[in-house]
Amino acid sequence: MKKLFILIFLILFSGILYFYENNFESYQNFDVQNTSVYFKGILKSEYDKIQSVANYYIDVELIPHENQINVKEEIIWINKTSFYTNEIHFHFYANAYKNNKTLFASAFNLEKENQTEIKIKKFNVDSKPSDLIFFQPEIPNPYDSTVAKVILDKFIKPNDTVKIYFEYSLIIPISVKRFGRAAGRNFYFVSQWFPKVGVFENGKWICSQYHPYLNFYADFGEYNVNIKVPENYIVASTGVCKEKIVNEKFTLYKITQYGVHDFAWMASDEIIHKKDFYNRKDGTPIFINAYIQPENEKYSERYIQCVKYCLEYFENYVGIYPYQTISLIDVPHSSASGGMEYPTLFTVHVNLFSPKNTGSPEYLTAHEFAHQYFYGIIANNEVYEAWLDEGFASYLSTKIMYRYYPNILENFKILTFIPVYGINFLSFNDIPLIYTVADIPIVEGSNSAKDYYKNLTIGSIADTSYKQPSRLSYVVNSYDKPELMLLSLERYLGFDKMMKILQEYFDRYKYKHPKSEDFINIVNKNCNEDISWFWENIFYNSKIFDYRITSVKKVSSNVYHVLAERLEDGIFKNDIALFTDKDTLYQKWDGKERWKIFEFRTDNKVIAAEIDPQRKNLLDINFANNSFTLEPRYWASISIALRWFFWIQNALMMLGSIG
Amino acid sequence: MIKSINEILINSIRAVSHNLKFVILFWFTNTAFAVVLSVPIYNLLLNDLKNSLISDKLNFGFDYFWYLQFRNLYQIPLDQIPWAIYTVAGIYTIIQTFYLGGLISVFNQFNKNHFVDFFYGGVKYFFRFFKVLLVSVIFYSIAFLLNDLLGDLITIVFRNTEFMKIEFIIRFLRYTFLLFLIGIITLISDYSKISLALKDKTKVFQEIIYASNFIKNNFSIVFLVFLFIAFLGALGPVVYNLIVIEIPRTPYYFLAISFFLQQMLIIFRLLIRMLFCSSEVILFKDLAAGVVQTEEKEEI
Repeated sequence: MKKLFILIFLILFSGILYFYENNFESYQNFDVQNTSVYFKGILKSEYDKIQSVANYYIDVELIPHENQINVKEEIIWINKTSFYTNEIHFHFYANAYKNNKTLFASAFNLEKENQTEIKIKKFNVDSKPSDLIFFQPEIPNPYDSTVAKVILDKFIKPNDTVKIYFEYSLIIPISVKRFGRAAGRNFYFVSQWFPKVGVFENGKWICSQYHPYLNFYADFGEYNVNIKVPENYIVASTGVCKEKIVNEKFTLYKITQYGVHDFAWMASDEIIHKKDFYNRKDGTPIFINAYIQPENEKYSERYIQCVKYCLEYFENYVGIYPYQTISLIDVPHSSASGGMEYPTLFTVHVNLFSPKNTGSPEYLTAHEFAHQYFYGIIANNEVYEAWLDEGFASYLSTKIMYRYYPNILENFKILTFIPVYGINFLSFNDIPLIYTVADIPIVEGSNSAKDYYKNLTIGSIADTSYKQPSRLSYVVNSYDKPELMLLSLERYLGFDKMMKILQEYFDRYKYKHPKSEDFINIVNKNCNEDISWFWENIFYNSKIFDYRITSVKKVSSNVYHVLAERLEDGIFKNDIALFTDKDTLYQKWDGKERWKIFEFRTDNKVIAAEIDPQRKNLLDINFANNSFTLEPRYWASISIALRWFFWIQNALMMLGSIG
Repeated sequence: MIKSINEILINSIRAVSHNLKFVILFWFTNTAFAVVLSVPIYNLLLNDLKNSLISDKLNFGFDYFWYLQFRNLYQIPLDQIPWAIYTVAGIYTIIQTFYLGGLISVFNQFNKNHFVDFFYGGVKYFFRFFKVLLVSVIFYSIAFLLNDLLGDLITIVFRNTEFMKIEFIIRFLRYTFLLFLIGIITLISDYSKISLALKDKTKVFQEIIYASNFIKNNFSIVFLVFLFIAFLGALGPVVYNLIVIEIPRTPYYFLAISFFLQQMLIIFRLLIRMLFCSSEVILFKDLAAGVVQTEEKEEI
């Protein structure tokens, strides 16, 4: 009886403890709520949709006083293709920082403090020691050792597995771009750090060198990473922390993530960790981790709110975010790791003064978040077709900004840090001489257009990204022109159809490696007409668009002739509108002819004619000549010129005061 | 001897109001030069907007896309504008140097303020003042060079640190220091010219040194008057901005009101420039005057 009482008491006590623990946990820390829908950091419903090709098991130890990591890495690679291979190719991207002559260093000056390399202590294939051969698959450069291969004794058949083992150490340099530590704080951002298998597709290895500015390409797999850091360090990483072991000397983070193709992490002893969550429409939570620099704590809410808006927008229009966590890392001022995306994690930074209407840091947050879909989930080859991730991320971050932050204003900076709303036309030594202080909203697409105008003709979106001749042509053809192209496509097809296309593209190519043609085919399939002209003019070629209404002539009492011209080589299907005092008449033009006369009949008083009145084609370089008014318009010119006149008067007084 | 700032200001304002007619000349000159630099812009705008519906949109609000396209389409002529501004500003400065000679003459002799006196003074002192201008341009260049070097130094010092707020404060101090240097150079330049004119001397460097010593010896009053008038001058744009923000862009008569207010502000600033000059003349005449020592005899 006594034993029974004791047993009942123990059961009750355990129950109370369990109940209290669970309640306390769920109250204190929501990140243990309802994780039953996930397995290894991804929704169970998505698990089987992923082809796991490269699985990584990594033990890494950070030694801060030496700025070094020691790594043991095991890779299980499965040949999921129908081809045989006797080679395995690896990215050794940390070697991009090896010296000042690597391909990467052609764009970034690497001082001694910025240099590092992977020092391999052991390399086995299927438990046998092997040799690595470093080579340059794309651009010859004897100093570049960012790609290596191993020749195997035997061929790997379809569905065969290879076990690869590395043991190495790596100094973490002061960051010059992406990977590295901050110069002014104990902040280690460890990305592009481990030897990673290339992509074996269609019987060929695709394993690109580390090109400056360009990103990455790898296969999906499972990552199990144990990160050992000093006890007082906080770790943020790709994936979910399934266990955290803390003792007096160190903290060990055991991290797992299924269905990703890269792994990055951060360790710092001076960072604030904020947690929040977003509930999908079905009620399942996504855990938001924000790691913020102490001095930027005031931006925490804005960061987290922006991530929530992004999750909402993508869920509404593209597809659900399938992972358990999303982590945002605000990097310190002296780190060059900000503004970069990795699976389930991205880095951002913020200026000292960033009022809401500057759109900073929200735009960067939205852009990097958008990469979770276009790079993270839809994993295109970023070295060959960067527009598929950068262009989509730019397009969707713009859409998010205009949905949730519609009042972003043009601004310029004084004293390096202080944003002033308005436009600065002329300044001398940080002293604005001719400027206007005004609330000028930045309209959709205008930021991309600003860069696009700097590079109208060099390169096309379809060109292989790493072959673009300059950084400007790479940026314009990967970010700006694709954004303008997608915005124009959306305006041409309509918002709903565009979102339907994005949904279909996402559903079909998530956890896969789509090419440009795959997206184009989906668009073509969803259009009721042949839009090959669209791709031909905007995607495959670098044509310039400029349509003009040259004249509107009254040829009889109620007949008007509108002369429309195509001034450049770019062709776009347009509407022609004739505005009268009572209504608007429309005609369509395929835009192919150099010029065409359109006949309109109306008894009303004609005011003007305009081509593309809805500004569907954002690549048109001159909207002012899209319309022609019957009565000349002087007022705007006088108004702006008078303002200019006043600014000049002031500037002259300022400059002339030295006399 | 004048003892209070209040007294100096009253006398200075009185001197300015006595010579108010010259402000028309200054305004006309400023306007003429501004017209030279504005007509090309007006032509570009007219070329772009004369038959465009965007013209109608711009009457109601700014079209940022149009602005970007305008800058791109007319990039070549617009790129020339800063050089045109600097060139015109150079000529304008020389004319201002000429006017300053006249202005100092008429402020110096209260009853001789006819245009003939003004231009006589301008011609008489022009070459001396021009030399001072050249010297002051060298000093302004040094000040800006120093400012640049300080900026580079701040960048190097803070490149690898996390002290953004301190960096901001130091950059702010650097900016303030630049403004202070500009103020000091302007003061030395002005007082050198006044000294040259009032003492009718021709040795420029000697008078620059004299003016520097004069400012050093009377720093508090000289700088306080300068700051006070500068503050008074800053009130103009503040009041203007408070009013103009409430004025709609259309219809056209609101534009006329805005333009009228703008010109009022320009005239106000020209008057402030005159006030600087008159206060400096009065201060110089007063403080640089020799003091006659009287001996007191002890009565037995």
